[in-house]
Amino acid sequence: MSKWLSDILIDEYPRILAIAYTMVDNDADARDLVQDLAEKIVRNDTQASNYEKPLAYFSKIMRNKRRDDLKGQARTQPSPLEEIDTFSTVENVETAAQYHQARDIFQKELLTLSPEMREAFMMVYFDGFSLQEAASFVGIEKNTLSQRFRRFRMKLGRRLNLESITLSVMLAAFLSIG
Amino acid sequence: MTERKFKKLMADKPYLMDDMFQRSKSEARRMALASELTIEEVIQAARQRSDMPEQAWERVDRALNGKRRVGRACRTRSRVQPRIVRRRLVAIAAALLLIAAFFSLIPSGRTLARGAFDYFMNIFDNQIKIGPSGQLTKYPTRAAESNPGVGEAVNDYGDVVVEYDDFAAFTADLGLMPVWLDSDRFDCVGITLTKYESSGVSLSSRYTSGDGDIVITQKWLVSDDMGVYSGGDAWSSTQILGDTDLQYTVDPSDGMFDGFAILRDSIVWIAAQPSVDMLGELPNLTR
Repeated sequence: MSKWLSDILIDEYPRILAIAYTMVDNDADARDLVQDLAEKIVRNDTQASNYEKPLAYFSKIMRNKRRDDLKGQARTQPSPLEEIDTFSTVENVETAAQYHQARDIFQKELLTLSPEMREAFMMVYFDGFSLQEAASFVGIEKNTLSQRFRRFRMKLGRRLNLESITLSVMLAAFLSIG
Repeated sequence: MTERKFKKLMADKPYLMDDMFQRSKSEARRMALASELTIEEVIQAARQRSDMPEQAWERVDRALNGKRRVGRACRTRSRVQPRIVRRRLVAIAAALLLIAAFFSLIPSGRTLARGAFDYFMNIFDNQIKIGPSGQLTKYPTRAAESNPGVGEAVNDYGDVVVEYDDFAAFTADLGLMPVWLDSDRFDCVGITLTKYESSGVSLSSRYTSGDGDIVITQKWLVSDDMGVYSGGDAWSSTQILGDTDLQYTVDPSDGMFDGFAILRDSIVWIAAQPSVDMLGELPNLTR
């Protein structure tokens, strides 16, 4: 007997909850995300075989919900939110600096992509969609998308390597002065 | 940066992509396993705040009733038919063989593997929680590729699945020693290996007789904790394979037998239908 999306939701609940925890920092928010997902699935329950990777589809639903929630919070927030550093296990200045630098480089590079390509990127590298599904979303051939991702990875790799060398030199200079 | 490295980076540090993400996927999995939030609670809350009629939830209710035990879910999962069959790159196959050889043939590799599999088991209420004994995992964090090789397939969950004709073929492939049932009364009707993307491999063997079915699932974990559930709350202990403790219970709601044991390198989980004299079959377990 073929499975429905609601069956997958129940069978794969621990993995779905884990996806929620990558996006939120407390149990209440995780519960809200999975609750919202459950309601959406029950409302539009269908055969799981309609989806190549149902968990990726669930991940995308939760990711969009989380983004909407964050946007809503930002709108209602009277003053700028205090920036919470997600890199909480920083052990030394060098690690922290490298982390912030890598994140800046990464996010700047992502901004060079079109919104559709950024979404396709998230679909493949976070949600776990196949290249084919992401390519269909963007409306391009799978091979074209694969090539674009490859170019992006290479460019990012080069930049991260370059900045890593620069940072090492700067830190060495800073420590020798200190 | 290769595709593989990049995917690993994204799994380890998704917050590099977007500030929306809070933690790595492995850390999130640990939190999910430790969470006390159940799917029943989530569904109940979703139902309360929803404007959908009760009939809309009937399928979910049936699925929840059917769930009841992880064992059943596992058996269902192992029957999922492959949807995509593709060839895997020779280089990846060679790399996996090298890893298997490293952990089975080289003494230092075996020591590493023993350390990685140093698991403990806690029973509380009607659940068993199995997790690593505090040490960092030393095993490769990625046990399987999502690209299947010859004779392999990818199931709906993205895991690589291999069907074997006999246990010898499995041992020849991975160098791991499975636990299996050598009984005159039960026929083995399926041997399925599942290579999870990041948490290890699992071998599920199914046996049938006129009395009913038995499923033996053996997991070689690499990094995850494992939580299992049975409706039974009275756990008993017996020995299998000569010197291994088996914790077992019978679910009062449906009479299913659930048993769990930790071996030197893996975790074994035995489920049997109520009509099966599982305690009588335990001496027939072999390795």
